[in-house]
Amino acid sequence: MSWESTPLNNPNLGTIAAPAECFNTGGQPWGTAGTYAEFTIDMLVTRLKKMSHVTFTLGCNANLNVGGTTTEFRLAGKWLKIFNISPNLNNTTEAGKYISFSSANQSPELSIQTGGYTGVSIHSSFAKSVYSCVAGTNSLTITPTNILWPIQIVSNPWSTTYFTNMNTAGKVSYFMPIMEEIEIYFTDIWGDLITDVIEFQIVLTFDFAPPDPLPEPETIKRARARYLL
Amino acid sequence: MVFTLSSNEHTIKVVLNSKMASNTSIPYSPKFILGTPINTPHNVVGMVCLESCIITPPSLFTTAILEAGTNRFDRYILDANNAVIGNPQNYWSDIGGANRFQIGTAGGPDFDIQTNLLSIQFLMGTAKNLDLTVAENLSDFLCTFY
Repeated sequence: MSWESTPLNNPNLGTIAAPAECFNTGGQPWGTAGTYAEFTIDMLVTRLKKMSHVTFTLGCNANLNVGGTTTEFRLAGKWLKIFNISPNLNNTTEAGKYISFSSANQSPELSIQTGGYTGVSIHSSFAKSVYSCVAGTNSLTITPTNILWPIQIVSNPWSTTYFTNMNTAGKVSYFMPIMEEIEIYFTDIWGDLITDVIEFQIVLTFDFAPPDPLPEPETIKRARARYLL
Repeated sequence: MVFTLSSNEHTIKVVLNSKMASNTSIPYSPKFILGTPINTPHNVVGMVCLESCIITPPSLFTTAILEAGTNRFDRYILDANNAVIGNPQNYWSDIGGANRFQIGTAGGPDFDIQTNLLSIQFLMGTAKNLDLTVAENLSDFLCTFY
């Protein structure tokens, strides 16, 4: 995609430009007189049908660099998830918190997530005994979280995914004598809160068990002493 | 599903359905007030496990995402020293003014005119409710930028 300087009858200033390598082997730009016809929407559709996923980069027409200036587009925010980019890039005024492109530099490779979310994590209000990496650039730390279970989404958007647990794998212990209320929310694979209303039905199994007994005092010392003997 | 050999005696199953939430004041974080509170006796540890879930995941092209306050698509104009000239232009939700067809000419005074006729937010919104797993729909969407 690029920004054109002469939109004329175009409804917008953007255009789709496919690499010449997509269809021809000559490496000539589309629209080269007498050689390659203009790249058309029909040709794009034909090509897209052959793709299992669509990746691309964004660039900027040099005509936006006027009078010795450089135009740089900076993208940030939750909508970057559409391109499989972390929504934790959320500030265009802070270095490292956005993606950008200009006439000299293409954007990072973007991939339209036509299949929607690939996974979500179910959170609740009572579990704080699970540890998780903090999402985003501060991913070097591990902190308590109220995440309960990550679920793989195997369906396309607006189609129902079903998950069943055949055993107690992933069980979470909690310390609350009386539970009267449960709150549920979801995050995505980046740890970003999903603010869409999600339809769900969740079955939770509650149980309790005696805690593992603490070792008797001096147990380790006695073991060491025995070893030294 | 049992937690211990004797779990069947006191296992409790809780069904949470988004359509039956007790409180949806925060729509994406429903609250459920249990009809019968779950009591954990003294000297034991409560445990909970996800037995099953049915989820209808949303698309990524939704109002909640496209209207998020953090969304930006800004044009920055930099001088030869990469210093920012003027204020960034908001291509995400704004469109250019009357002179948006005039991108500017080399050395001209109108180099900083915002050029877009439609906002990126609007263009991305054209994919709402589209099944983008269908190639024709995806190509139609991409061609919206043309």
